[in-house]
Amino acid sequence: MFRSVTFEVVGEQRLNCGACEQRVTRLLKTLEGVGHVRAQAEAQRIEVLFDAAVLEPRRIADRLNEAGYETTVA
Amino acid sequence: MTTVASVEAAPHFWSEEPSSIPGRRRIRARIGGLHCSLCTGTIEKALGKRPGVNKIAVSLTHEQALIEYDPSVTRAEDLLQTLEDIGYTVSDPRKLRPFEEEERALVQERWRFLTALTMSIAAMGLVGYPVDSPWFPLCVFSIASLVALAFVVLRGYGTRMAVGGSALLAVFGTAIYYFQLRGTFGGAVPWTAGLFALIVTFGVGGHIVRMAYMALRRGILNQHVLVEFGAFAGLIGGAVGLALNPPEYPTVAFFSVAVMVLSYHIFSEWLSLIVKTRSSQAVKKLLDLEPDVAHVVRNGQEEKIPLQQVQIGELVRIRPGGRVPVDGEVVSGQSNVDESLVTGEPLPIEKRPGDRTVSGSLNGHGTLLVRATVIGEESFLRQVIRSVEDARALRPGVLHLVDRVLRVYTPIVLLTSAGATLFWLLMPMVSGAPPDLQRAMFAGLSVLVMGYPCAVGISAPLSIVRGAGEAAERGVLMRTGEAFQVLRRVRRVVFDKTGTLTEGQPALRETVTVTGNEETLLGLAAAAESSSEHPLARAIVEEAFRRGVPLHEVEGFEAVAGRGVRARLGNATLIVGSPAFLTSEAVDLQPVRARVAQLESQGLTVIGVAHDGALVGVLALGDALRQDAAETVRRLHAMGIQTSLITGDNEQAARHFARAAGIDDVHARVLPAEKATIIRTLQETTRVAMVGDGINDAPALMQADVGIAFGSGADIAIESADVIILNQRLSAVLDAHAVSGYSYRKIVQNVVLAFLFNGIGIPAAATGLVYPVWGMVAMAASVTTIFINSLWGRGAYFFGAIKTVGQQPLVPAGAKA
Repeated sequence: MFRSVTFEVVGEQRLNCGACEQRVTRLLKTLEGVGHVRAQAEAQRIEVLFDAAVLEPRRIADRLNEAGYETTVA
Repeated sequence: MTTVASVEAAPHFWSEEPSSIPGRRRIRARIGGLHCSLCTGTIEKALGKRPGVNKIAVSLTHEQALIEYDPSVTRAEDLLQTLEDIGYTVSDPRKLRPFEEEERALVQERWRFLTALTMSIAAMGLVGYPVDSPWFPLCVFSIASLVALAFVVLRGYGTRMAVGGSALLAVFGTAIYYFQLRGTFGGAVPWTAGLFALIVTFGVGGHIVRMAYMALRRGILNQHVLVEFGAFAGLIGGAVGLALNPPEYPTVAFFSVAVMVLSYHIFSEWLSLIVKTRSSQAVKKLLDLEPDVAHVVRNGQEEKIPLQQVQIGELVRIRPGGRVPVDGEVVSGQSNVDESLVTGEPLPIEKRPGDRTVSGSLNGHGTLLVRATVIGEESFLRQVIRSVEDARALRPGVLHLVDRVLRVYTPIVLLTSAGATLFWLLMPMVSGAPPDLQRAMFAGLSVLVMGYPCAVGISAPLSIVRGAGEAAERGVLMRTGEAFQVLRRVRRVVFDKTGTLTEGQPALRETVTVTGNEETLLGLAAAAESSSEHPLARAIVEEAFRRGVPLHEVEGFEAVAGRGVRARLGNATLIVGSPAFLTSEAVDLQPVRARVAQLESQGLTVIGVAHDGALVGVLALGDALRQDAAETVRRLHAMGIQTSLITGDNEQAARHFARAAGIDDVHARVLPAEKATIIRTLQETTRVAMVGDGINDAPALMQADVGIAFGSGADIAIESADVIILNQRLSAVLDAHAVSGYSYRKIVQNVVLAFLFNGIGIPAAATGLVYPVWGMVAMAASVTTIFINSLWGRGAYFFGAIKTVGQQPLVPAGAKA
C-alpha cells in the first residue's frame, strides 16, 4: 500500500543545497519500504513515497531526526 | 577469538595522525557528498554531540574531516558510522591513494622540468654571442621563450610566484649573458657548460637515459633514443672541444644544446603525464569510491566486512538501495532488484526466497538476506573482469602517429650522421688531400644534435589538451589516445539496447484519456495500483508521486495475477489492468481500440483504467528510445558509418527498438562474453566502436577499437571505455567523432611543423658548416609555432591543465547521481 507523506523542515538545521537534497534522499532510501524521495531545499520540504504496509511515517521522521532535521508533517 | 581476527582484518577507512594531547587520537577521513559550507556545520554538530569527541575540523575544499577523540570513550568506527548515519559517504583510502600518488609524480616532474629549464637559460647565456653578431637576436629570443615557458609553469604556484620567478630567471639569464660577454668567467665557461650538460643528462634526466637504453636493447627507435643520441652527440662534441681546444670551436654551444634538447624533452614528458593523469582522474571521479563491503550476519550479529572476506554459505544482508555484493540465493525477504546493468532486462525483477541474485545488480525497496553461493573467481563480476582482460589482450593495437614517423625518421637521422662523417673523411682523399677530421666529426655530431625534433614530443599532447577541452565542453570525456586517433576511422558503431539506445527505465510513456483529464486518469490508476507489487504498478505510482497527484485511499483491493487489479473507491469500483482484463470485466474499449493496438506495436505495455464500469483512459508504459537515437543513427549512416544493435534482451524487443532507431543489424539474447566475440567478428572487416553502459557491455567496450560508455553506467563499463558520455545524449557519439577528426588533423599539422625545422636543419648540418646554436634556435622556433597552432584562441585549456598540478585532487562527491 503506497502512501505519500510530506515533511516540512522546521528545526535549526535546514536543507542548504543540492548536496543536502541528495544526502537526505540517499539516507531515506536505505529505509525498507521507501520508494521515492523528493527533497527540496527551496521549499524546505521532503516528500516521501512509501509502502505503508512495511513502514510508518513516524519511522521516516525518526530517521530524519537522527540526521539532525526536525520536521513536522505538512 | 574470531571477532578479534575480523576486527583486525577490517579495512580502515581513515588515516591516523599524532595528537598533541596525550591520550587522544586524531583521525582523518575523506567524505563524499559535501558541497556547501553549511554542510560542514552539519557534520561538526553531529560529531560534536558524540561523547569523547573533543575537536572536529571539516574542510570543504579538501572534502575531509579531522577528528580528535578520546579512544577510551569512543571508537573511530563509531564516529564514521555517525557520518554515514547522517547521510555522508566515507571514501575508501585505498581507492583514493592513486589520486595522491599521481599528483605527487606530477609535482616531481614539474621540479625536474624547472631545474632543467633554469640550466637551459644559464647555458644559453653562456653561449653568449656578441651584440653585433647576427646570432644575438636569436639568442635573446631563445632565452625569452624559455622565460615565458617558466612563467606558464610557475602560474600553478600563483600569479605572484609566476611573475617573481620568471623575472628572477630573466635577470639570471641576462646577468650570465652580460658577464659572459665581459669575459668575467674566463676559462671556466666551457667547463661550467659541461657540468650543466652532465647534470641534466645523468642527474635530472637520468631516467630518460635508462628508458632509451631499454628501448635500444629491444631494437626500438623511439623519442627517448633519438633525444639521447642528440644529447650524447652534444656531450661528445663538447668533450672534444675541451680536450683538443681547436680554434673557433663551439665547445659551449655543444654542451648547451644537450641541455636544451633534454629540457624540451622533459617538458614534453611532463605534459604527456599531465594529459594522461588528468584523463584517468576524470574517469576515476565517475567511479564509486565507497568501500567494497558486505553486511554479513554471523551468529545473529550483522558485521560489515570487506567483500573479499565473504565465505561461501555465509548470510549477507542487502539493504534497500544497496548494490548486490554476491552471487547467491535469497533466504528471506522480498524486494525488486534492478538487473538492467547486468542482463539488459529493463524491468526490475521481483526476488523472493529461493531466487538467485547476481553481483552488481541494484536492490530496490526491500531488504534481502542472501546466502552466498559463489565467491571469488567464479562470481559473475569476476568472470566479466576476466573477459575484459581477454578482450584487452585481443584488441587490435594502435601505433601512435609519432611512433610511426619516428620508425622511419630515426634511422634516416642516424644514417645521415654516419654518411656525413664518412663523406668528409673520404671526400678529401679523392683529391689526394688528408681527411678533414674536424669537419667530419663536426658534421656527424651536428646532424645528431639537429636530428631531434624536440617539438614532436609536445605535438600530440598539446592537440589532445585542446581536443579534450573541446570534447568536455560538449559533455564528452575523451580518455585515451585511441579515442583521438581511431574514432575518426571507425566504420561501424555497435549499440547496446537497454540504457544506451533506450532510456533503460520502465516509465509512463503515453496516456490516452476518454473521460476526464490526464491527472484524474493517473490518480485513479495510482490509487488502485498503490497496493500492487508489480514493477509496472510501481512505475505508475511513482509517476503520480512525481507529478504531485494525490493518492486516494482504496478498499477491497484484489489482484488478478498477470492481468490487473480490482478495488473500491468510495462507492464505485475501480478496474485497472490489461485491455483483455478490462474487456472480460465488461468494460467497452471500442473508443481506444486502434490507439491501443498502435501503442502495443511500439513495444509498450498498455494498462486500461475503468471507474464505475466506464473507461477513463489507458496508460502506456515501457522503455523508450532515447530522443536523439534515431537522429544519431541517421547521421552516422549519412557519414557512411554502419550500425548494429546488440543486447542480452529478447529478439522481439531488440527488433522493435532496432527498427525504431533505423538499425538493420540485430543481435539478441547475447551473453556478456559473447558480445566481445561478436565485436571481434565485426572487426575482421572494419574498425568498430561499441556504445554501452552495463556490466555486460564491459568486455565488448574493451574489445572494440573504441569503447564509448555512459558516465551513468556501471563502473566496470566506464573503466573499459575510451570515451565517456557525461550528459545523457546519445548524439555525443557524433561530437566525439568530430573532435577525433579535428584533433587528429592538429596532431598531423604539429608533427609536420616539428619535423619541418629539423628537416631544413639536417642537410645543412651534414655540410659540417652549421653551428649547434642553429639547433637551439630551431627548437625554440618549432616549439613556439606548435604552441600557437595547437592552442590559438584556446590557451585556457593549456593553462588550466598546467595550473592544477599539485593542487588537491578533487574527490568525487556522489558523481553517480
